[in-house]
Amino acid sequence: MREVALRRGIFLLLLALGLAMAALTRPLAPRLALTLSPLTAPLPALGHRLGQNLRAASAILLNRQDLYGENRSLKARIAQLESENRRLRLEVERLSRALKVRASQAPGVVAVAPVVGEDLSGLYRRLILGLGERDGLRVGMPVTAPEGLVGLIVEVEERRALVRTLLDPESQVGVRPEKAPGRGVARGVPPDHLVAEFPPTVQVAPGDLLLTGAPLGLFPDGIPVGRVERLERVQGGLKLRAWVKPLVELSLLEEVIVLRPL
Amino acid sequence: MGILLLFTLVLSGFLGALWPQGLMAPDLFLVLALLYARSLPYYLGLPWAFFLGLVQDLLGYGLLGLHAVGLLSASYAFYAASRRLAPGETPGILFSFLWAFLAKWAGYFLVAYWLRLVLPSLLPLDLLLEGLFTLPLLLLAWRLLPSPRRP
Repeated sequence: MREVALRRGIFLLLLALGLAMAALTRPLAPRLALTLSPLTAPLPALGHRLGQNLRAASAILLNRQDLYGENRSLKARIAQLESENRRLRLEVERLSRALKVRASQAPGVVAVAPVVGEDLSGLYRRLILGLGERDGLRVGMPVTAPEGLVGLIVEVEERRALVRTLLDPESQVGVRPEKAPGRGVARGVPPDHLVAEFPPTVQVAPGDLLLTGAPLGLFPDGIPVGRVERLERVQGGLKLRAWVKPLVELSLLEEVIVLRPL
Repeated sequence: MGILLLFTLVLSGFLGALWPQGLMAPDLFLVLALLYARSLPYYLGLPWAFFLGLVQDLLGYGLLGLHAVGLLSASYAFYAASRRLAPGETPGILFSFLWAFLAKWAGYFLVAYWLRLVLPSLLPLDLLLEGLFTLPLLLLAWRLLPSPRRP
Protein backbone atom coordinates (compact mmCIF):
# COMPACT_ATOMS: atom_id res chain seq x y z
CA MET A 1 0.00 0.00 0.00
CA ARG A 2 2.80 2.28 0.97
CA GLU A 3 4.73 1.27 -2.11
CA VAL A 4 1.80 2.11 -4.34
CA ALA A 5 1.44 5.48 -2.71
CA LEU A 6 5.15 6.14 -3.05
CA ARG A 7 5.13 5.13 -6.69
CA ARG A 8 2.13 7.28 -7.33
CA GLY A 9 3.84 10.14 -5.54
CA ILE A 10 6.99 9.84 -7.62
CA PHE A 11 4.91 9.63 -10.76
CA LEU A 12 2.89 12.69 -9.89
CA LEU A 13 6.00 14.59 -8.94
CA LEU A 14 7.71 13.80 -12.20
CA LEU A 15 4.54 14.45 -14.12
CA ALA A 16 4.26 17.85 -12.57
CA LEU A 17 7.91 18.46 -13.33
CA GLY A 18 7.36 17.46 -16.94
CA LEU A 19 4.34 19.66 -17.35
CA ALA A 20 6.09 22.57 -15.71
CA MET A 21 9.14 22.06 -17.84
CA ALA A 22 7.00 21.95 -20.95
CA ALA A 23 5.23 25.13 -19.99
CA LEU A 24 8.37 26.97 -18.95
CA THR A 25 10.57 25.99 -21.84
CA ARG A 26 7.92 26.30 -24.48
CA PRO A 27 9.13 29.70 -25.70
CA LEU A 28 12.71 28.38 -25.82
CA ALA A 29 11.84 25.01 -27.31
CA PRO A 30 13.88 24.77 -30.50
CA ARG A 31 16.71 27.01 -29.31
CA LEU A 32 17.24 25.07 -26.11
CA ALA A 33 17.23 21.77 -27.92
CA LEU A 34 19.70 23.14 -30.44
CA THR A 35 21.97 24.39 -27.68
CA LEU A 36 21.97 20.99 -26.02
CA SER A 37 22.14 19.00 -29.23
CA PRO A 38 25.98 18.58 -29.16
CA LEU A 39 25.34 16.35 -26.15
CA THR A 40 22.72 14.16 -27.78
CA ALA A 41 23.09 14.46 -31.54
CA PRO A 42 26.43 12.72 -32.35
CA LEU A 43 25.29 9.18 -31.73
CA PRO A 44 22.00 9.39 -33.67
CA ALA A 45 23.93 11.23 -36.39
CA LEU A 46 26.37 8.34 -36.52
CA GLY A 47 23.51 5.86 -36.79
CA HIS A 48 21.84 8.04 -39.38
CA ARG A 49 24.98 8.10 -41.48
CA LEU A 50 25.31 4.33 -41.18
CA GLY A 51 21.71 3.93 -42.31
CA GLN A 52 22.21 6.32 -45.22
CA ASN A 53 25.30 4.44 -46.34
CA LEU A 54 23.46 1.16 -46.09
CA ARG A 55 20.59 2.60 -48.10
CA ALA A 56 22.96 3.97 -50.74
CA ALA A 57 24.77 0.64 -50.93
CA SER A 58 21.52 -1.24 -51.37
CA ALA A 59 20.46 1.26 -54.06
CA ILE A 60 23.74 0.66 -55.87
CA LEU A 61 23.25 -3.09 -55.62
CA LEU A 62 19.71 -2.77 -56.97
CA ASN A 63 20.98 -0.61 -59.85
CA ARG A 64 23.64 -3.17 -60.57
CA GLN A 65 20.97 -5.83 -60.67
CA ASP A 66 19.19 -3.69 -63.25
CA LEU A 67 22.41 -3.47 -65.22
CA TYR A 68 22.84 -7.22 -65.06
CA GLY A 69 19.28 -7.68 -66.31
CA GLU A 70 19.79 -5.19 -69.12
CA ASN A 71 23.09 -6.82 -70.00
CA ARG A 72 21.43 -10.23 -70.14
CA SER A 73 18.62 -9.01 -72.37
CA LEU A 74 21.09 -7.21 -74.66
CA LYS A 75 23.20 -10.34 -74.94
CA ALA A 76 20.11 -12.34 -75.81
CA ARG A 77 19.21 -9.73 -78.41
CA ILE A 78 22.72 -9.83 -79.89
CA ALA A 79 22.58 -13.62 -80.05
CA GLN A 80 19.23 -13.42 -81.82
CA LEU A 81 20.54 -10.84 -84.29
CA GLU A 82 23.69 -12.86 -84.91
CA SER A 83 21.59 -15.92 -85.59
CA GLU A 84 19.40 -13.94 -87.98
CA ASN A 85 22.50 -12.51 -89.61
CA ARG A 86 23.90 -16.00 -90.13
CA ARG A 87 20.61 -17.14 -91.61
CA LEU A 88 20.49 -14.15 -93.94
CA ARG A 89 24.10 -14.64 -94.97
CA LEU A 90 23.37 -18.26 -95.87
CA GLU A 91 20.29 -17.13 -97.75
CA VAL A 92 22.33 -14.58 -99.68
CA GLU A 93 24.94 -17.19 -100.50
CA ARG A 94 22.24 -19.57 -101.66
CA LEU A 95 20.61 -16.93 -103.83
CA SER A 96 23.99 -15.88 -105.19
CA ARG A 97 24.65 -19.44 -106.23
CA ALA A 98 21.27 -19.60 -107.87
CA LEU A 99 21.96 -16.35 -109.68
CA LYS A 100 25.32 -17.63 -110.82
CA VAL A 101 23.74 -20.78 -112.16
CA ARG A 102 20.96 -18.80 -113.77
CA ALA A 103 23.52 -16.62 -115.47
CA SER A 104 25.74 -19.45 -116.63
CA GLN A 105 23.47 -22.42 -117.01
CA ALA A 106 20.27 -21.27 -118.62
CA PRO A 107 17.52 -22.29 -119.39
CA GLY A 108 16.55 -21.41 -115.91
CA VAL A 109 16.36 -22.44 -112.34
CA VAL A 110 13.31 -24.26 -111.05
CA ALA A 111 14.38 -24.51 -107.45
CA VAL A 112 17.26 -24.50 -105.02
CA ALA A 113 16.92 -27.75 -103.16
CA PRO A 114 18.66 -28.96 -100.02
CA VAL A 115 20.44 -32.29 -100.12
CA VAL A 116 18.89 -34.34 -97.32
CA GLY A 117 20.33 -37.77 -98.02
CA GLU A 118 22.87 -39.71 -99.97
CA ASP A 119 23.21 -43.27 -101.09
CA LEU A 120 26.56 -44.38 -99.75
CA SER A 121 26.34 -48.00 -100.76
CA GLY A 122 29.20 -47.60 -103.20
CA LEU A 123 27.17 -49.27 -105.89
CA TYR A 124 25.06 -46.29 -106.82
CA ARG A 125 25.73 -42.64 -106.27
CA ARG A 126 22.40 -41.03 -105.69
CA LEU A 127 21.27 -38.02 -103.73
CA ILE A 128 17.96 -37.32 -102.04
CA LEU A 129 16.66 -33.77 -102.25
CA GLY A 130 14.42 -32.13 -99.70
CA LEU A 131 11.96 -30.86 -102.31
CA GLY A 132 9.54 -32.88 -104.39
CA GLU A 133 6.61 -32.83 -106.71
CA ARG A 134 4.78 -30.30 -104.56
CA ASP A 135 7.67 -27.86 -105.18
CA GLY A 136 7.58 -28.29 -108.93
CA LEU A 137 10.28 -30.93 -109.32
CA ARG A 138 9.78 -33.49 -112.09
CA VAL A 139 11.56 -36.53 -113.42
CA GLY A 140 14.16 -35.60 -116.02
CA MET A 141 15.16 -32.27 -114.55
CA PRO A 142 18.91 -31.63 -114.58
CA VAL A 143 20.55 -30.90 -111.26
CA THR A 144 23.62 -28.72 -111.01
CA ALA A 145 25.80 -26.86 -108.59
CA PRO A 146 27.87 -23.71 -109.17
CA GLU A 147 30.94 -25.96 -109.72
CA GLY A 148 29.29 -28.09 -112.36
CA LEU A 149 26.84 -30.80 -113.25
CA VAL A 150 25.44 -33.00 -110.47
CA GLY A 151 23.00 -35.34 -112.20
CA LEU A 152 19.41 -35.92 -113.15
CA ILE A 153 16.19 -36.36 -111.20
CA VAL A 154 14.95 -39.91 -111.70
CA GLU A 155 12.25 -40.26 -109.05
CA VAL A 156 9.95 -37.72 -107.47
CA GLU A 157 7.77 -38.02 -104.40
CA GLU A 158 5.58 -35.36 -102.89
CA ARG A 159 8.33 -33.88 -100.75
CA ARG A 160 11.46 -35.68 -101.90
CA ALA A 161 13.29 -36.32 -105.10
CA LEU A 162 15.98 -38.82 -106.06
CA VAL A 163 18.91 -37.62 -108.12
CA ARG A 164 21.03 -40.00 -110.16
CA THR A 165 24.41 -38.33 -110.05
CA LEU A 166 26.87 -38.35 -112.90
CA LEU A 167 28.99 -40.84 -110.91
CA ASP A 168 26.19 -43.40 -110.87
CA PRO A 169 26.97 -46.40 -113.08
CA GLU A 170 23.59 -45.98 -114.76
CA SER A 171 24.30 -42.36 -115.58
CA GLN A 172 25.12 -41.33 -119.12
CA VAL A 173 26.05 -37.78 -119.92
CA GLY A 174 26.76 -36.45 -123.39
CA VAL A 175 30.03 -34.54 -123.14
CA ARG A 176 32.36 -32.57 -125.35
CA PRO A 177 35.80 -31.08 -124.82
CA GLU A 178 35.74 -27.40 -123.99
CA LYS A 179 38.23 -26.29 -126.64
CA ALA A 180 37.91 -28.87 -129.37
CA PRO A 181 35.11 -30.30 -131.45
CA GLY A 182 33.86 -33.84 -130.86
CA ARG A 183 31.28 -35.66 -128.77
CA GLY A 184 31.36 -38.52 -126.39
CA VAL A 185 29.40 -40.21 -123.65
CA ALA A 186 30.49 -40.23 -120.02
CA ARG A 187 29.38 -42.99 -117.65
CA GLY A 188 29.75 -43.05 -113.93
CA VAL A 189 32.39 -45.21 -112.34
CA PRO A 190 31.90 -45.17 -108.60
CA PRO A 191 33.23 -44.06 -106.28
CA ASP A 192 34.64 -40.89 -107.78
CA HIS A 193 35.31 -41.03 -111.52
CA LEU A 194 33.64 -40.88 -114.89
CA VAL A 195 34.73 -42.67 -118.00
CA ALA A 196 34.09 -40.81 -121.20
CA GLU A 197 34.49 -42.52 -124.57
CA PHE A 198 35.28 -40.52 -127.67
CA PRO A 199 36.03 -41.37 -131.25
CA PRO A 200 39.80 -41.56 -131.75
CA THR A 201 39.81 -38.42 -133.85
CA VAL A 202 38.66 -36.17 -131.03
CA GLN A 203 41.44 -33.92 -129.77
CA VAL A 204 41.40 -34.31 -126.00
CA ALA A 205 44.25 -34.30 -123.52
CA PRO A 206 44.70 -34.73 -119.75
CA GLY A 207 43.64 -31.56 -117.95
CA ASP A 208 41.01 -30.65 -120.51
CA LEU A 209 37.65 -29.56 -119.25
CA LEU A 210 34.63 -31.51 -120.43
CA LEU A 211 31.26 -29.81 -120.80
CA THR A 212 27.81 -31.23 -121.33
CA GLY A 213 26.82 -31.59 -124.96
CA ALA A 214 23.28 -31.40 -126.27
CA PRO A 215 22.99 -34.61 -128.38
CA LEU A 216 21.59 -36.88 -125.72
CA GLY A 217 19.06 -34.21 -124.94
CA LEU A 218 19.00 -34.54 -121.18
CA PHE A 219 21.21 -31.63 -120.13
CA PRO A 220 21.62 -28.08 -121.33
CA ASP A 221 24.73 -27.50 -123.35
CA GLY A 222 27.90 -26.14 -121.76
CA ILE A 223 27.62 -27.18 -118.12
CA PRO A 224 31.06 -28.17 -116.75
CA VAL A 225 31.30 -31.86 -115.98
CA GLY A 226 34.90 -32.67 -115.08
CA ARG A 227 38.57 -32.66 -116.02
CA VAL A 228 40.33 -35.37 -117.92
CA GLU A 229 42.87 -37.14 -115.77
CA ARG A 230 44.24 -39.78 -118.14
CA LEU A 231 43.53 -41.23 -121.55
CA GLU A 232 43.73 -44.69 -123.01
CA ARG A 233 42.89 -46.24 -126.32
CA VAL A 234 40.53 -49.21 -126.25
CA GLN A 235 39.02 -51.67 -128.69
CA GLY A 236 42.17 -51.80 -130.71
CA GLY A 237 42.40 -48.07 -130.97
CA LEU A 238 38.88 -47.59 -132.20
CA LYS A 239 37.92 -45.61 -129.15
CA LEU A 240 39.53 -43.07 -126.90
CA ARG A 241 38.69 -43.61 -123.25
CA ALA A 242 39.12 -40.66 -120.85
CA TRP A 243 39.11 -41.00 -117.08
CA VAL A 244 37.45 -37.90 -115.79
CA LYS A 245 37.40 -36.40 -112.32
CA PRO A 246 34.08 -34.57 -111.79
CA LEU A 247 34.21 -30.94 -110.74
CA VAL A 248 31.51 -31.38 -108.14
CA GLU A 249 32.43 -32.93 -104.82
CA LEU A 250 29.20 -34.80 -104.19
CA SER A 251 29.84 -35.59 -100.55
CA LEU A 252 30.20 -31.89 -99.76
CA LEU A 253 27.02 -30.75 -101.45
CA GLU A 254 24.47 -29.11 -99.20
CA GLU A 255 22.28 -27.54 -101.85
CA VAL A 256 21.79 -28.08 -105.54
CA ILE A 257 20.04 -26.17 -108.25
CA VAL A 258 17.35 -27.86 -110.21
CA LEU A 259 17.00 -26.72 -113.83
CA ARG A 260 14.09 -26.82 -116.18
CA PRO A 261 14.33 -29.91 -118.42
CA LEU A 262 15.12 -29.55 -122.07
CA MET B 1 22.08 0.60 -18.72
CA GLY B 2 24.16 3.34 -20.27
CA ILE B 3 25.29 1.07 -23.08
CA LEU B 4 21.69 0.32 -23.91
CA LEU B 5 20.97 4.04 -24.11
CA LEU B 6 23.95 4.63 -26.40
CA PHE B 7 22.90 1.72 -28.57
CA THR B 8 19.35 3.06 -28.71
CA LEU B 9 20.62 6.48 -29.79
CA VAL B 10 22.66 4.97 -32.63
CA LEU B 11 19.84 2.65 -33.61
CA SER B 12 17.28 5.46 -33.66
CA GLY B 13 19.45 7.39 -36.13
CA PHE B 14 20.04 4.24 -38.15
CA LEU B 15 16.34 3.41 -38.36
CA GLY B 16 15.52 7.05 -39.13
CA ALA B 17 17.67 6.84 -42.25
CA LEU B 18 16.21 3.55 -43.41
CA TRP B 19 12.58 3.89 -42.39
CA PRO B 20 10.17 4.86 -45.21
CA GLN B 21 9.04 8.47 -45.20
CA GLY B 22 5.59 9.08 -43.74
CA LEU B 23 5.38 5.77 -41.92
CA MET B 24 5.32 5.73 -38.12
CA ALA B 25 8.63 4.34 -36.89
CA PRO B 26 8.92 2.04 -33.87
CA ASP B 27 9.46 3.88 -30.57
CA LEU B 28 12.83 2.60 -29.43
CA PHE B 29 12.80 4.81 -26.36
CA LEU B 30 9.58 3.23 -25.21
CA VAL B 31 11.22 -0.19 -25.56
CA LEU B 32 14.18 1.04 -23.56
CA ALA B 33 11.99 2.60 -20.86
CA LEU B 34 10.06 -0.66 -20.51
CA LEU B 35 13.30 -2.64 -20.35
CA TYR B 36 14.43 -0.42 -17.51
CA ALA B 37 11.04 -0.79 -15.85
CA ARG B 38 11.37 -4.55 -16.08
CA SER B 39 14.72 -4.63 -14.33
CA LEU B 40 14.71 -1.60 -12.02
CA PRO B 41 12.56 -0.74 -9.04
CA TYR B 42 9.99 1.97 -9.62
CA TYR B 43 11.93 4.66 -7.77
CA LEU B 44 14.68 4.26 -10.37
CA GLY B 45 12.63 3.18 -13.36
CA LEU B 46 10.29 6.15 -13.33
CA PRO B 47 13.06 8.79 -13.23
CA TRP B 48 14.93 6.86 -15.95
CA ALA B 49 11.85 6.91 -18.14
CA PHE B 50 11.49 10.63 -17.52
CA PHE B 51 15.15 11.18 -18.42
CA LEU B 52 14.81 9.08 -21.59
CA GLY B 53 11.82 11.19 -22.58
CA LEU B 54 13.88 14.34 -22.12
CA VAL B 55 16.61 12.91 -24.32
CA GLN B 56 13.98 12.07 -26.91
CA ASP B 57 12.65 15.64 -26.67
CA LEU B 58 16.12 17.02 -27.24
CA LEU B 59 16.71 14.72 -30.19
CA GLY B 60 13.46 15.83 -31.75
CA TYR B 61 14.21 19.54 -31.19
CA GLY B 62 10.72 19.78 -29.82
CA LEU B 63 9.00 20.75 -26.63
CA LEU B 64 10.93 19.71 -23.52
CA GLY B 65 8.70 17.49 -21.44
CA LEU B 66 6.38 16.06 -24.03
CA HIS B 67 8.13 12.73 -24.47
CA ALA B 68 9.26 12.84 -20.89
CA VAL B 69 5.67 12.83 -19.69
CA GLY B 70 4.75 10.21 -22.28
CA LEU B 71 7.48 7.76 -21.29
CA LEU B 72 6.90 8.46 -17.61
CA SER B 73 3.23 7.57 -18.06
CA ALA B 74 4.14 4.45 -20.02
CA SER B 75 6.58 3.32 -17.41
CA TYR B 76 4.11 3.95 -14.59
CA ALA B 77 1.42 2.02 -16.46
CA PHE B 78 3.85 -0.83 -17.01
CA TYR B 79 4.66 -1.03 -13.31
CA ALA B 80 0.96 -0.98 -12.51
CA ALA B 81 0.16 -3.71 -15.04
CA SER B 82 3.08 -5.97 -14.18
CA ARG B 83 2.07 -5.98 -10.52
CA ARG B 84 -1.16 -7.67 -11.48
CA LEU B 85 0.19 -10.04 -14.17
CA ALA B 86 2.48 -13.03 -14.13
CA PRO B 87 5.93 -11.77 -15.13
CA GLY B 88 7.68 -13.26 -18.18
CA GLU B 89 4.63 -14.78 -19.81
CA THR B 90 3.67 -13.66 -23.26
CA PRO B 91 0.06 -12.60 -22.56
CA GLY B 92 1.30 -10.61 -19.59
CA ILE B 93 3.98 -8.94 -21.68
CA LEU B 94 1.50 -8.13 -24.43
CA PHE B 95 -1.01 -6.65 -22.05
CA SER B 96 1.65 -4.66 -20.19
CA PHE B 97 2.94 -3.30 -23.47
CA LEU B 98 -0.53 -2.37 -24.66
CA TRP B 99 -1.24 -0.61 -21.39
CA ALA B 100 2.07 1.25 -21.46
CA PHE B 101 1.62 2.20 -25.10
CA LEU B 102 -1.80 3.69 -24.44
CA ALA B 103 -0.45 5.48 -21.38
CA LYS B 104 2.34 6.99 -23.42
CA TRP B 105 -0.12 8.50 -25.86
CA ALA B 106 -2.32 9.60 -22.99
CA GLY B 107 0.73 11.43 -21.58
CA TYR B 108 1.30 13.12 -24.92
CA PHE B 109 -2.33 14.22 -25.08
CA LEU B 110 -2.13 15.47 -21.50
CA VAL B 111 0.82 17.73 -22.34
CA ALA B 112 -0.91 18.86 -25.51
CA TYR B 113 -3.99 19.69 -23.52
CA TRP B 114 -1.96 21.36 -20.78
CA LEU B 115 -0.28 23.67 -23.25
CA ARG B 116 -3.31 23.94 -25.52
CA LEU B 117 -1.21 22.67 -28.39
CA VAL B 118 -2.70 22.14 -31.81
CA LEU B 119 -2.79 18.40 -32.14
CA PRO B 120 -1.24 16.93 -35.25
CA SER B 121 -3.63 15.01 -37.45
CA LEU B 122 -2.93 11.48 -36.36
CA LEU B 123 -4.89 8.60 -37.70
CA PRO B 124 -5.70 5.61 -35.52
CA LEU B 125 -3.89 3.57 -38.15
CA ASP B 126 -0.69 5.52 -37.39
CA LEU B 127 -0.95 4.66 -33.72
CA LEU B 128 -1.70 1.06 -34.52
CA LEU B 129 1.29 0.84 -36.85
CA GLU B 130 3.61 2.37 -34.30
CA GLY B 131 2.44 -0.15 -31.77
CA LEU B 132 2.78 -3.02 -34.19
CA PHE B 133 6.30 -1.98 -35.18
CA THR B 134 7.38 -1.41 -31.59
CA LEU B 135 6.01 -4.64 -30.15
CA PRO B 136 8.36 -7.03 -32.04
CA LEU B 137 11.34 -4.96 -30.96
CA LEU B 138 10.17 -5.15 -27.35
CA LEU B 139 9.71 -8.91 -27.58
CA LEU B 140 13.14 -9.23 -29.17
CA ALA B 141 14.75 -7.11 -26.46
CA TRP B 142 12.87 -9.13 -23.81
CA ARG B 143 14.29 -12.31 -25.28
CA LEU B 144 17.84 -11.18 -25.98
CA LEU B 145 18.58 -9.18 -22.89
CA PRO B 146 18.90 -10.84 -19.52
CA SER B 147 16.13 -10.21 -17.08
CA PRO B 148 17.61 -9.42 -13.68
CA ARG B 149 15.26 -9.93 -10.81
CA ARG B 150 13.74 -6.64 -9.81
CA PRO B 151 14.59 -5.83 -6.18
